[in-house]
Amino acid sequence: MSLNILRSNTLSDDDVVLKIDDVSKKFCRSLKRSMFYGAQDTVKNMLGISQDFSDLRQGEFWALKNVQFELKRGETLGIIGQNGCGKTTLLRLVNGIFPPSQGKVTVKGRVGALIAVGAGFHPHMTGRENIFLNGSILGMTRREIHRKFDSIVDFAEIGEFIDAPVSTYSSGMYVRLGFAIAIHADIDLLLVDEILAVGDLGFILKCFNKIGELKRNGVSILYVSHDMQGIINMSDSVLFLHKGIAQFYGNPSKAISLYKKTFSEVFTSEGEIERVTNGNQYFKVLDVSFNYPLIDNKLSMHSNEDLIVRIMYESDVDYDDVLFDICMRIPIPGPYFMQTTNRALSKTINLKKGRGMLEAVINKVTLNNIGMYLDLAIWNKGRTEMLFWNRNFPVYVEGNASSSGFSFFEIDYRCDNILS
Amino acid sequence: MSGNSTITIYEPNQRHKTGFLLTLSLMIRNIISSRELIFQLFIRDFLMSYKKSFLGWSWIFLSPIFGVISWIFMNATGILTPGNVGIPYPAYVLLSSSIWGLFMSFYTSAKNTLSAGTGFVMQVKYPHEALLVHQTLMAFSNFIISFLINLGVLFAFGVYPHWKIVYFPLLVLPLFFLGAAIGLVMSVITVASTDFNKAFDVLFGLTLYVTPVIYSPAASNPALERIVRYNPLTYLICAIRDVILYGKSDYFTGYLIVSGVALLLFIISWKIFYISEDLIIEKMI
Repeated sequence: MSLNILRSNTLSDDDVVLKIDDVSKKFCRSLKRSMFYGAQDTVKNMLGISQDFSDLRQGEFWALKNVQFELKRGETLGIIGQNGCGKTTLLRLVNGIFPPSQGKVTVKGRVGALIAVGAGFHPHMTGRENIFLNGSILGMTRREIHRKFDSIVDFAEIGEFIDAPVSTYSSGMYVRLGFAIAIHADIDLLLVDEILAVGDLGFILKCFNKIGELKRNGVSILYVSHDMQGIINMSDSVLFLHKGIAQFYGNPSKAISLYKKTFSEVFTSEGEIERVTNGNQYFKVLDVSFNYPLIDNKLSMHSNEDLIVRIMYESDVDYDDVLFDICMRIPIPGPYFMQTTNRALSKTINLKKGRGMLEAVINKVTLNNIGMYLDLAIWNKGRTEMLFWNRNFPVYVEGNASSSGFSFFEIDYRCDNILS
Repeated sequence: MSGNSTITIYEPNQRHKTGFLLTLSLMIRNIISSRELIFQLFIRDFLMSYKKSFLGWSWIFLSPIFGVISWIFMNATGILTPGNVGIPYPAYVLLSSSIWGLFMSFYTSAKNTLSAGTGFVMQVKYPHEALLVHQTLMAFSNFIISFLINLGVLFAFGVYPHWKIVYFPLLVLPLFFLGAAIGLVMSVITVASTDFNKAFDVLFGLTLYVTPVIYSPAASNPALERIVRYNPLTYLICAIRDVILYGKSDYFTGYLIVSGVALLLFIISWKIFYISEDLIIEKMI
């Protein structure tokens, strides 16, 4: 329950604002069953039967399991993970929306959230009236709202529309107003959930600057985002969640590397190398290898190095001027890094009778911390017959932990003083 | 930074472990601390619901009258023999049914406590007591408006209320406690089972017929009379009606007993709601 503690004038550095102590949370997948469990739990509660939530009933799953960390005053913790890994559940637990199934959540001070944009906004009320309404919902007193009113309106950049009904606002204005109010609440811990999903660049910049200001004033922040650069910029440490379980807690760059690896692994473990066709009655591909070993059907290499494809074949006839297609793509159907054929690069390939080795050297693969699939195909001259087609070779390119993004470039820097 | 060092802890089974008195004092504290929110919500819903239409205002005035027209018709044509009610029948039935309507609206407000917050209940942390108080205030203020019209009708029939009508806000408290007690429990059950909710609403509405609202308390049918005598609402509604009309009531003792029980039920019901709220909220996603 709530305890009031007298605040001392000097705050030590290890002032813990948030403690997540072995916290787990379960939900039920099916709506019907969820309702049934809800009724069951309610009746049990009414009869005074204390409940043990540590087992999973049918249809239930753990959204979070045994999560443990602390957050100190002024610290920012980034939280990353795939959709559905438990990030929003964690924020809701800290916000007190519902209790954990196991463990303990302890919060010191006031919590504010940049999650509920426009909570309780009434479409027919003006922006001005909604500031008071929304502010109250977020826990601000009338006096506080009056005091901060001008700052809120400035931040939102609504201008004269502040006295127009909110239903006439564009979605951008709506969001700006909602955030402007939330960001002015007087808090110790700020929860931020994917703010980059809405708002234009100018506004996003504003939000970041304001959040930076809050940080300088000692506000602790839980920052959930898919924007890795934002995470690196803002976070002191990062928590990486996967399927409700904490995989890593600590250095932001390391966490992001791990996250990207898991992200790629999900695809590569699901995909299988498809050897669609390996030849015809005259031509046969004996082996496909690379300058890196295939371990567990996966290939790992470092960024900025060459990837060499070696195809050993045996043929009864000459195949002159063949077309060798290589496609390097993201492990899901759709986008690809490069798809090309030797003809496009003005190179001729003649496969002579007998046994031979066809090699393709992909120079300096400048991908960064991402997995890709390699598809290889050989056609005869004129593209009337496909001689060979293997697809889904999984290649993971391990890159530089301190830079984010899927590509990597060597950059030289120079600074000259200009004398006037 | 807020300079606030209050420590808040969230654990499983937490609300379950809180004692009755602590639950009650927490509720009162939360209502006080969220008074500005309640005020804002009230302004929002009250003004906004009437800002739009002239018809909206007229409806509030006219709907109680439309509500009782069928009873007046049946009485006038001799289908319904309500017994001796002491004042002109239309005035009697208008007054009684508006008190009954108030009780039902307290029930409905409480029942809709959680669903009224749909949308931001899942995203923002705030005391849900604020929703209950807000809903109830809305119901009461809607009632006041139509009640003023009813008084006008009473005057038209030559029926003048006793000065003790000023006690009215105090007198209806037990109606609130009883209605809200049932409504709060239903509010929780509703989330889990909408079928039960609908069935219960229908049954609950039928209690109109076993309460002396459209007929006199001295009913001729002995079986009905017995049910009426054991119905707690009889004492509440009759006592309120009598005080408004005559300044005193034979039912007052019964009224006080029922009031005490209603208050107790409300406290228990609030505790049940409080415990269940945590479990129910996540089902509202």
